[in-house]
Amino acid sequence: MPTRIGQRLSVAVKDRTVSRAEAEEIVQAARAERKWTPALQGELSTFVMKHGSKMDAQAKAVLEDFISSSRPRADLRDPLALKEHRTDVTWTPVGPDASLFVDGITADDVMQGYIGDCYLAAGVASLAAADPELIKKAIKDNGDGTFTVRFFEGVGEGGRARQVRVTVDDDVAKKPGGEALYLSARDGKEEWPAVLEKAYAKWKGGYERIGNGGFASDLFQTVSGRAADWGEVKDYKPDALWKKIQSTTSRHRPVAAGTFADNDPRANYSGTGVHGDHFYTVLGATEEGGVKYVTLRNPWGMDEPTGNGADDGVFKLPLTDFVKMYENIEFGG
Amino acid sequence: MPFDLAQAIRDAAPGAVVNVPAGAYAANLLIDKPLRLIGMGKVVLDGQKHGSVLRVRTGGVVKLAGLMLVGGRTGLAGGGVALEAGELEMLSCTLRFNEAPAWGGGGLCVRGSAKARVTQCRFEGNLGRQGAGVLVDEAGQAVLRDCLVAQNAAFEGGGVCAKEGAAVELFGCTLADNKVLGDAPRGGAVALGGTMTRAPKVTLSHCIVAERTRGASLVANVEAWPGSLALTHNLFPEWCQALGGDNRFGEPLFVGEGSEPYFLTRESPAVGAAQPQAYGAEDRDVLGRARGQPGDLGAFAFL
Repeated sequence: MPTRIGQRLSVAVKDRTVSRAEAEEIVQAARAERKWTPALQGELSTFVMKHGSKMDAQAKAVLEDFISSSRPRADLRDPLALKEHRTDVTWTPVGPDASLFVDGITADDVMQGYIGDCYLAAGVASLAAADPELIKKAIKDNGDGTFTVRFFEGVGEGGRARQVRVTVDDDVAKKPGGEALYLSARDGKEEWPAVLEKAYAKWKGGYERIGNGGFASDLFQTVSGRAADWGEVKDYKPDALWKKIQSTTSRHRPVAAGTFADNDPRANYSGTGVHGDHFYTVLGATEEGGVKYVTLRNPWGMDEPTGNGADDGVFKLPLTDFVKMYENIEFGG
Repeated sequence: MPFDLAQAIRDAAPGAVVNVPAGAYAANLLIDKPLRLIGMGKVVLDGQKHGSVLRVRTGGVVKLAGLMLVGGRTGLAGGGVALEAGELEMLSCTLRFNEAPAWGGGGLCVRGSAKARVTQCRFEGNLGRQGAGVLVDEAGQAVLRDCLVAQNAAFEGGGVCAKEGAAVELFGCTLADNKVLGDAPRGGAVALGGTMTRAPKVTLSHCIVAERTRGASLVANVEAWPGSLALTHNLFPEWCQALGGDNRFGEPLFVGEGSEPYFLTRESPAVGAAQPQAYGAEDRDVLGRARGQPGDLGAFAFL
């Protein structure tokens, strides 16, 4: 089946000449392609080679300039694993001026999407806060619009961990309104959170498989290759827990914590600004005026208890409240 | 002085036997050494919704016998028993009304490289996001023999769920009336699904798998990265004929009432349907009764 760009090229040579205006139209058509793949770039290059003699010099220059400056992007034709979760979405590249990293890697980059993988979003933000280099090392830009993410499998299972490499393209799923359906970056041009989650989803069998709850510690292990630790908050004496959070974050290791389920009688979140059945990034532990605090971040990148400055999801809770409101805590190794 | 179970476990030397007197105990306990915990009479360990009833994390073998574990509820995995490391042998235990809503394994979760051998046990009325009765994850292994897995509910794998590189073997079990709920319910009785790089293995033999309500998928294998599924000589509902093999298809004809509604009636196609020599002279059903020859499918022998 001829491509749209192919059809436009056929029209252009029908009268045995290509004007500058037609060349510019062709470039516009090429830019409008959903994804400028190496195949389409090859098609245009062949056209210029074959019909260059029929073009005026300016038309040829316009086309050659576009060919040399355009960056083709591979289309991996996302597998079934990535399609089954929702069908009313469009998969489009982040954008022509997108970049894997924009202004470094921080927890603030991470914005959870509309599936139940708060454990993963909070975990990714924890890793970004604790050890951004780890994320940088884990994601390789293949230069063609695809990325290869390295994970570790089998960590903490007794045997030797194995490296797993998963390649995904930079298409992201958008809801009918244009909003990102899955994990995204606060800066719409930054790709790394979406790429990391997409590779994790592809590896695990799809967004449906990862969007049903889970452990942040699994993500810590699979990205770092180091065994993680997890437990229930009540297993610790509050001061010991505070110290463990402080020592773990100061060693640049990730920490995340989960709240009780909404209907759990042990906690009542009404009016607190903290949500039940949710995972939070633990950014650190501090002491001010003799009061111990735990600093947390909502992976939604917003929605926090009042009195914590800008609504960026980051807030401090007194340790006494933290141990009442959080059920489990997970530490990266 | 009342028996202090937590203290008894703390004081026990590795490998010791802790005999638990009959009674009800509030329990959210970590077992971090090889131990035998034996119920002397009717022993109920109640998690009181304050975490897993038992968490097992040891390098050795932990044996549980004659215990009823109820009321566990955890934000992690394994509302009744969370087996995180080591080996667990569980005999004649009941895991009932435990919950793991955030992850799964309402009754039992086996993860890491832990191994569980579960014999003549009951998993009833547990809730979990996946694997409401039993969740086996990562490289965990579980063998369930002569067990009843009934009336558990999850989003995926109402009875049993096997993920990643897990291995699960069910022999002579009854899986009945387990439910899957939510937007994309999958695997009313059993669900399995691997990753790009590893696949779980599940075998069911001499089991009865029954649901009162016809569901989308009784035994679900994830399409994207399926696991290895072997179904031999089981009884499935009539509407599951596509499962094929040497399985039988039809109504199990349970008694359907009383204290043991999953007892078989004389007319049940599961009666006497076991393969010759499937059960040895020592084999017992979930109630501890001799299996007999040729024996019946499912957890309950027909006597």
